[in-house]
Amino acid sequence: MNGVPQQPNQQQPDQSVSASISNEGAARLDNTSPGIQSDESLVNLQLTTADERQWLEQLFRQQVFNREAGVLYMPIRHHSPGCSHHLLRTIAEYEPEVILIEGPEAGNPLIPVLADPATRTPVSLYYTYEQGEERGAFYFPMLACSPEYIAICEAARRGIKASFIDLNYRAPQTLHKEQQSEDEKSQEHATEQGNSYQDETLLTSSSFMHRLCTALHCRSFDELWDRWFEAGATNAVTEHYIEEIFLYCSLSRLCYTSEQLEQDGTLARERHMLQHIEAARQQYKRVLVITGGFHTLGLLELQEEQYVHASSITARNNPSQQDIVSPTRITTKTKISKQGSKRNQPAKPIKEQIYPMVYTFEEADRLNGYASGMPYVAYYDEVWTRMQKGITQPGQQTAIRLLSVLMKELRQGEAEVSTSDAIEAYSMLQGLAAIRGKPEGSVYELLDGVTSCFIKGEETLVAVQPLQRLQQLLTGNQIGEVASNPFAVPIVEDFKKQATACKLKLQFTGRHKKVLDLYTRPQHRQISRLFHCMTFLGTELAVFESGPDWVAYRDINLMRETWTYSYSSFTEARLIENSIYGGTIAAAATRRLETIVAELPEQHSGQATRWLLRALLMGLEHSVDGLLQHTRRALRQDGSFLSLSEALVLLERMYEHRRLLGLEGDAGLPELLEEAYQHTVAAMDTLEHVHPDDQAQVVQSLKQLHMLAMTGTASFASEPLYDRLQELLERTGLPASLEGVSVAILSRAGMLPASEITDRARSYMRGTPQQMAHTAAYLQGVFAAARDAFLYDKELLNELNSMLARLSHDDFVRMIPELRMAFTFFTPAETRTIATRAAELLGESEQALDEPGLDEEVLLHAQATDKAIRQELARWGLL
Amino acid sequence: MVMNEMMKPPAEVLYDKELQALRQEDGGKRPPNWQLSPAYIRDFIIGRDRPALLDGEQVPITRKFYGNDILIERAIVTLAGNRGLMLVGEPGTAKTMLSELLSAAISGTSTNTIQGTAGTTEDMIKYSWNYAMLLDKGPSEQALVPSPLYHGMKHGVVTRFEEITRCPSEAQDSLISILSDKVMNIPELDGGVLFAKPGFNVIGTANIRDKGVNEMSSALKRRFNFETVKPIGNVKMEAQIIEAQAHNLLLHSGIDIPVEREVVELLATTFMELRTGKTKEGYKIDIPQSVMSTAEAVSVYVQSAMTSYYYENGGVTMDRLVQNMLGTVAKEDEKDLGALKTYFSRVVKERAGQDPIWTAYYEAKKWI
Repeated sequence: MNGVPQQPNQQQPDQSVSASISNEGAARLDNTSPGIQSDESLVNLQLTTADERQWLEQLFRQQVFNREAGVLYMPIRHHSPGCSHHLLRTIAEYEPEVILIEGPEAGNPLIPVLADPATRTPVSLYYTYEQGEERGAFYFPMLACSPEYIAICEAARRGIKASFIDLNYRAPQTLHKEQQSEDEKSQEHATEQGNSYQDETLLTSSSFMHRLCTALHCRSFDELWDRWFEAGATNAVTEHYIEEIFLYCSLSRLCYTSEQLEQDGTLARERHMLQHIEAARQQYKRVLVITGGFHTLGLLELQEEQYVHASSITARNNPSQQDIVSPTRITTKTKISKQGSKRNQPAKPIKEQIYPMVYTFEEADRLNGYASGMPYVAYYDEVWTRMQKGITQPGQQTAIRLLSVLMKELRQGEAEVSTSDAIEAYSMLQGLAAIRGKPEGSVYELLDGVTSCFIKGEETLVAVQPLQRLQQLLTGNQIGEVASNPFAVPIVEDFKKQATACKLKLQFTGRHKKVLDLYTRPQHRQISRLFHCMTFLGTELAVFESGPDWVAYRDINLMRETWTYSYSSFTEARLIENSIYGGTIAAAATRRLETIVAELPEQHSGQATRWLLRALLMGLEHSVDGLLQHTRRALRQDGSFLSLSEALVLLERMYEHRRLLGLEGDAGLPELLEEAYQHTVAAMDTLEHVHPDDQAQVVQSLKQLHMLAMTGTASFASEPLYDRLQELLERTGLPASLEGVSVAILSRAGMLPASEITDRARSYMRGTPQQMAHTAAYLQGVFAAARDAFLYDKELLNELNSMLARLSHDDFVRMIPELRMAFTFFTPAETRTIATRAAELLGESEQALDEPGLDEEVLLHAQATDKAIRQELARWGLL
Repeated sequence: MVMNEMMKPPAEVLYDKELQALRQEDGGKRPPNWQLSPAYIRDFIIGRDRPALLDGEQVPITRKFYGNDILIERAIVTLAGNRGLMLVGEPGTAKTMLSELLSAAISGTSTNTIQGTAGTTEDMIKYSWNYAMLLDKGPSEQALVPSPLYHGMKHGVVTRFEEITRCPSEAQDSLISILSDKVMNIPELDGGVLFAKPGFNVIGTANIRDKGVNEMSSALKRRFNFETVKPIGNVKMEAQIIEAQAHNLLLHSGIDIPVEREVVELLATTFMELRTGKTKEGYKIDIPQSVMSTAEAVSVYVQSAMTSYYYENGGVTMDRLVQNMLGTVAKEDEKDLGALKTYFSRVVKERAGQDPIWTAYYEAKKWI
């Protein structure tokens, strides 16, 4: 360890890098590196200061890629096919005894599952933890081209040990938050549900990388990476390839101070990884360490620190030895121990779980906001497949194939594209590769080619359709598969079993549509119930697009339900979270439902009934039993007329449509309904003081009760209802609308003479002006339950007419809205009948109804007169 | 050509030294008849940190086009290929300048240009005749008057076609077969076929949204690769362009006064906010119908500077700036002045308290 070269100019690493870049624009470090064969960049390279470069090169030879050192470091980028290619070469050549991988150590027991040939990428490890109030979840995605996945599979093939060495918990990235663009911020929601273990923000957004991108005319770090480490990767010498990754990642790392890295949690993770590495060093002769390139330098520095720390005790009197470590590093060390101890001794116990889980290309694509790994997943996946087959120019070959697929799809979409466009795009791809000094064109040249050759006219939202389609092709729509394993979560297995039975498409992402013929096909009923359960569990699997909505009581006439659904690791993660409620979808939904219902206030019978209806839609019959009890209890304890009547309406709806809801038997609904009826009638006592806003609803509820009473069944005895209504009418403070509906119901039931309606109306109409104002509300109540009273009772019409005649203009205008509202209860034909009778009353013919209120000629004459008078007045100076 | 004798020297004269130096240095592969390799043309247009050497003298390679660098690469590759290059976008986005720079770098001349108008006819695009000679000697090559397109095909030179959408569709369509076959038939001459020499291509510029333009036929569109030049979305960069261009223009008008950066930044801010309809604080404002392009901002500044120079013998005053701005904003519709007025009373007023230059700017509101 003593031979570690000292870093030059440690105080201000940032400046040294910046100065160097400005000296030489397009620059490469080494002329034997992969990718670019450009003349200008190979010699006289001044990307960094000569000292710094020499230091890093020396470090690489002695510490990173020294086959004799016992530990070989392989710096990589997540999901990079180029890295995977050279990783395989390295393993074959180095023949390690153990492979250590940057990944959550809790995932170690899952390694055999990942290595299982039945596991199909993309897959991920899903880690959740809970510590007191704090909760978090992390994904560790793996694609076919991920070096981590390749290492695991290769280790299994060789029969050597592979293990994860990183911390399970990851502090949220705090650096660079301020530098985020609006776009990035808007994408944050995507990561809220689960963070990625492979966050590369530090590597990609360092000032070094920014300047490098500018100097090399690259749009982003991803393009830079593609140019240097993917294009032509297979032609590179492995050692030089790895050296370049090490150098670039290290230069990026040097832009940050130790304090920043400590605050970010990077150093804590590296200390943890180093412990594993040191332990492995004691046990094995050849250890291969695979980490993100950003960490390699950090691991080496920590190693050095440890050495200094150990030797400083013996050499305390020798100041020259201590000089090796710069002051910054020592500060860091003291901070480390504090933070480390804090994390190692948590105040509250941590509850953590880790599962193997499917993943999707869509989620793995960095462009979709998951901030890890590389973009254009499907493209790189295909490149990797070609690399494995030893095909030369795998990137360019993939680009050609995608171009032809794009052509085919655009033509199917009836877009105007010709083969000549594709030829042009391909020649553009080659031309751009040449101007950018790349050995082969790749995804970025493909995008540029399509932009230039496929978009005719100005780049507008409509015109960029080919580009959008290409983006989709580049991202891909695959969903992985995890081999059956003892860690599988029963609820996920249950879902998959049901999904297979229901023939749901879980192999590809994208929104699939399912139209369900509920009433004729039992299997469709099953799918509907599954979708309802999944929606209730918050998995975001399916969205109800159209069909009968029983809860809101809309579109009941529709026969089919239309759903769209899309499977992703998000859904699977939500299922795993729900696993604490039960081992199957039904069990989990039941348990959650029970939890919700148990938390409902005892007396809320309306809400309880609502949940009962939702339970029916989910097909949770066994759970309904418990719910029935609860609903019954709630009905008994509920004193609110409105809540009770809501329960009554819902129960009646469920009972009436029980066949459509797929209910077997009556599920105890008749008893509940009867109970609801009785309690609602009993609660009518409170109606006298009902809030004005609730009056309309009370009127409807009373009408509903009346309709039930009219069925004549024993369950809905009419007598108590009429008694209560009579009692109500005797109260003096009863609101007018309630009085109207009560009188109407009783008169229809024959309990009151029909003239009572008119008499009471008259008492309002001929009362004080204040009472007169209530006439409309009274009529609203009457019309709600007995429209015929007005249609056929001449006297009421007369009364109303004479009242209107007596009204002053202002009072009339004030009353108009309420009166209009009252008359909305009538159908157009009925309104016509009323109007005819009103005309008769006033001695007008029926034809007069169709005539305009004012003759056009009269109107024109009046207008002319008005104009003339105004002119005259103006002439006299009076206006 | 001597630079001082021209009001606006073409790119190849203006940047003669840079082009020479780059040609001397360039060892890359060039398409036939190109004067520079594609990578060097890119460097010429977007500049580079490293100066080039011309007979031992260091010549800095400056940035001439601000905006999307990737677009430049695509444009160069397009010109090396089979299709023409069509630059489209809002007015005043430096399409013409880009086309000049490209043709100057590729062919060494940017003056081989057809200037499209509503009156452009097919013979202006292809060739016409010297009628005196035609009557005298009959159809012959001597009697033929070549168009810039003819010249470009004959000598393997890039031909620029400015404002192609202003030409009637019939005239535009005469390009179709020439672009695909790279041949021009001259039936009047015996064996009259002109084959395009390698190095020939067409750079068109078109305003698609402007009033009074003609639609391009799909057939013609297929012969071009389109590149959309977008307005600059960065105040600092826009200010930089205004400063550089205004300085050049003033110098050519014989006015040697320094460009005031503060004023330029204020102007760039106003133009960008009125163009995008959004202030830097994030408020929405009305967008005038007129084109609030960078080119217009340059002209406002130059006019203001000239007026101040000749009449006030001093720097640019806010009064002059606002007076000159009126003409730009109210070009299409008088009502647009309302948008400017609102801008002053809402946005400028708010900033007036914080910055003296914005205070002065707000005081000049009286001219609107």
